[in-house]
Amino acid sequence: MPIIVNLDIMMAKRRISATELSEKVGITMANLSILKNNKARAVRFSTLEALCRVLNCQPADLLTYEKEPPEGPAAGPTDGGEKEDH
Amino acid sequence: MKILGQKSLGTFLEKMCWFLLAAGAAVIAGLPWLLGFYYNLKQEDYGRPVILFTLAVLYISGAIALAILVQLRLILRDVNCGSPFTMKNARRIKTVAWLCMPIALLYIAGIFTIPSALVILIALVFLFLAALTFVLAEVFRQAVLYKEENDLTI
Repeated sequence: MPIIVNLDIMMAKRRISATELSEKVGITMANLSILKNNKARAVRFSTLEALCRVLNCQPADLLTYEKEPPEGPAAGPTDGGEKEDH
Repeated sequence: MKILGQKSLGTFLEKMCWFLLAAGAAVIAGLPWLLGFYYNLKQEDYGRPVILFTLAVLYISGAIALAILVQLRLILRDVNCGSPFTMKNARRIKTVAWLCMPIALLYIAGIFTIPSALVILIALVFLFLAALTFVLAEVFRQAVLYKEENDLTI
């Protein structure tokens, strides 16, 4: 999944435990674990709002996008570099 | 009236499936005598080939009906346990649809041989049931996908 949830980093910065966070956000420990382990398929805005409120941060602090590497052995560079003419 | 869960209509139906399985097995075992009794009542003699063909149709369709009951009981068990929307149940509904097909085909073949007006009715009913159950199976499968998506939406 290209979207990475950086909950662990923010939780460490704010020194808040998973139990406390789940109680304040209003989600179960199981759901929090799904979120932390990047197993979630989607996040509701209401949950994101609650996380940002409790952790006092922005959504960009919690979510990052990492492009997936292209598949196949013949995959070229992914930085959009120009092809050389020989 | 409670439909699902403990002590509900669903639980009652699950127990009914056990009873119907036992009753169905007893009927299948006693088919030659039951068919003989029926023909004696009608005071008709259709000949050995017709009787044998009728017995074969009844045995095969009876066995398939028991298999359908087994699938239904398993579906009801999962429903009563609180987890109805699983891929296993979606596959079971599709299995029921597939099992209705040979019954319909058997009775279509029986239209020309078995001397009963009910034969064509049973054939049409099971054809319709098979088609409807295929549609329901696909709807159920999509419901399972929606549920899985929803379960992973935090």
